[in-house]
Amino acid sequence: MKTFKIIIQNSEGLHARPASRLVSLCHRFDSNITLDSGDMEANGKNVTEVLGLGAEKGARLTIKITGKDELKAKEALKKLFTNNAPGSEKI
Amino acid sequence: MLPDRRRFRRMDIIRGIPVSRGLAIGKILKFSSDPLKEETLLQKLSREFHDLELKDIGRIKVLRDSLYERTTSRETTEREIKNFKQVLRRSKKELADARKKLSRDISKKFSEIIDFQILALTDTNIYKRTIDLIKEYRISSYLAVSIIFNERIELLRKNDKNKLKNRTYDLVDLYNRLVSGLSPAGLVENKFESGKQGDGFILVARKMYPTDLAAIDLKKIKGIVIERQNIESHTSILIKSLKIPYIIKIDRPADAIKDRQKAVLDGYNGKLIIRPDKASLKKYHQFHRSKGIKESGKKLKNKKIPALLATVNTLEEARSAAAMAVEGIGLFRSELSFLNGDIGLSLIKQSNAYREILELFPDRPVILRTLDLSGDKASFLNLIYKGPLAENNKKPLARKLCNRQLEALIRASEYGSLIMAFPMISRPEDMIMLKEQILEIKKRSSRTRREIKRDIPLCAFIETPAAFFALEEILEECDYINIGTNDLLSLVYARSRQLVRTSNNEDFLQSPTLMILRSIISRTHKKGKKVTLCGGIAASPKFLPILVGMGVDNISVELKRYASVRSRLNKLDPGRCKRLVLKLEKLKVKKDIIRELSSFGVSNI
Repeated sequence: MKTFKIIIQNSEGLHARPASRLVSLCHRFDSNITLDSGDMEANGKNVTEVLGLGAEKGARLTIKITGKDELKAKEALKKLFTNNAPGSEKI
Repeated sequence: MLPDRRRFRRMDIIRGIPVSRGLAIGKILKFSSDPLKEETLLQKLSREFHDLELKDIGRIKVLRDSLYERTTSRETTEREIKNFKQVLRRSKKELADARKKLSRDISKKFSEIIDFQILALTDTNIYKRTIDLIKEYRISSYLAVSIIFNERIELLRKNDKNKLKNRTYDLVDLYNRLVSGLSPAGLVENKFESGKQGDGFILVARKMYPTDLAAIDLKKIKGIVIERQNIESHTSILIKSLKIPYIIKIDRPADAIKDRQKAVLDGYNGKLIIRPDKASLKKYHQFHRSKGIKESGKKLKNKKIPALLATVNTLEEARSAAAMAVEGIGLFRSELSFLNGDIGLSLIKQSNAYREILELFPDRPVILRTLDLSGDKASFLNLIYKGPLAENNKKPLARKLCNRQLEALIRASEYGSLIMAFPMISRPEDMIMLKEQILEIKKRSSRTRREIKRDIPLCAFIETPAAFFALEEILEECDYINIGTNDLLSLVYARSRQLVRTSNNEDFLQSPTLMILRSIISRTHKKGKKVTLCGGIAASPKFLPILVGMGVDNISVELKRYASVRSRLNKLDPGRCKRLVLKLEKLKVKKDIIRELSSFGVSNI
């Protein structure tokens, strides 16, 4: 299992658009991906659960990845959270 | 009195909150959503069975029995599941088309708004659980979808702390799409008829969802008016990117506006003018040709018109101000934000909230005033800490809270153009004490990894007669001053603050008011510093030429008055206002001042 922590940077929190980007990426991998906010856990492939975390800006989430492509998934997700390309909305 | 029909034909002005600037002249085109969208089964369920839980089989049965016939046979259940899957497939295709259309007509970057709905369709919480529910309780797909969406939306609403409420609208949009395919015959009426569109329309709707925009030929829409919409909703985000005039929260039901009438949408001032008369139409046509206020604003800026800033109380108002592209924040009162939870009590929460406010206004000043617990506002402390506090506890708690606020503001200052403001400054010692506290916090920060080196401009609120007399000394200790006219005038004229806020500002059109304001402004300018003026008189049409004539640098007004004050300011000639002030200064009697203002033409401003 691979785990890492992230901090939500989006000023509106993990709302529909960044959540969609995150869930779309999770769908590309076979591994099970879980987002843990401390109070709640969400399946990374279920957009309503991810939204249901109610993660606001500054919230700390632990991402847990289990499966055969867990390493690839971890790298891709880390890249998504650190992407600061101009014009792209921060997560 | 005129006969009804003639009265009806008169020009009618509807006011709302301007979101996107611009001017549109065209015919009204009503967008009516499905009756289901107005009062959905989901809303009905949510209202009547607010605490509905899936385990509560009895209630589901009651719903099933009252709304639908029992679907007892296995074949019927299978048919319902098949029906649900079909609607899902169709919805996915419709959404993919909507995504394509919005990417083409608006911007590719907004396609994620539709992606969310496509992803939600395959979400096991919706897809699999709906099928399980149909099978287990042998209910219709329509009812199962309603229950599942109700559960999801309620869950989100429970999690939300005000600002995240908009997240549920996308689910409501998706729910509407599904139930219009699943609902029993007769419940759904025809959607918007795209055939009735022509060129140059002002679209008027009661409520709109993101995918509704995909149903419209946007090239033909010159402006949009929505009665019930939030500034931060996905629908608003999409409309703003169209760069056409757009106003929301109008003061009249959209249903009362008739289709196909001639209208002008003034996105600068938040006005929808129905059946404009010839003079108004001529004025707007001329204005349209001269390319709008933006350019005239630039021209007037050179003639030293004060900058117009916004006075806000909450984070939501700050977001609205940012969307209205105000020139900056002249006063952010922090009291209400503490009460409604926008600003938490902990250092991190406060610092994040201030950062968010500052990031809304890149390169624009934000004058954020620290907590005011003076006079009648002392009770705020009880409200913030949710309970009656013991007298001996109040002072240490207030001190602790104010220190923490200072530290949070200092931490957040690197994210924007913060001007830290302090209420009720009466003596230079007040500022000196605050500066020492700031220095202490900075010293502390140098011992940690978060060293803060920058100098944050400081602003003193001049709102007591004592501050008026000690102005020069106070100015030595700060970078800006802000005249809080509500408190200042209440103390000068010995009236309650509440009365000053609500009373007719004409009461203060007196020689002492003018002398005090003139004196504060000129003494501050002599020290090479700038003055912002806020409070009720800042938005008063009668005071506006006086303030411009006195050379005040910034005027800060409540958001709801921003557009009208902007329009009035743009009409004023600073040179003429200066001459007016010179004349007014010689007058000692109120009625003479009012007469002079009338001859200046304030009623036409």
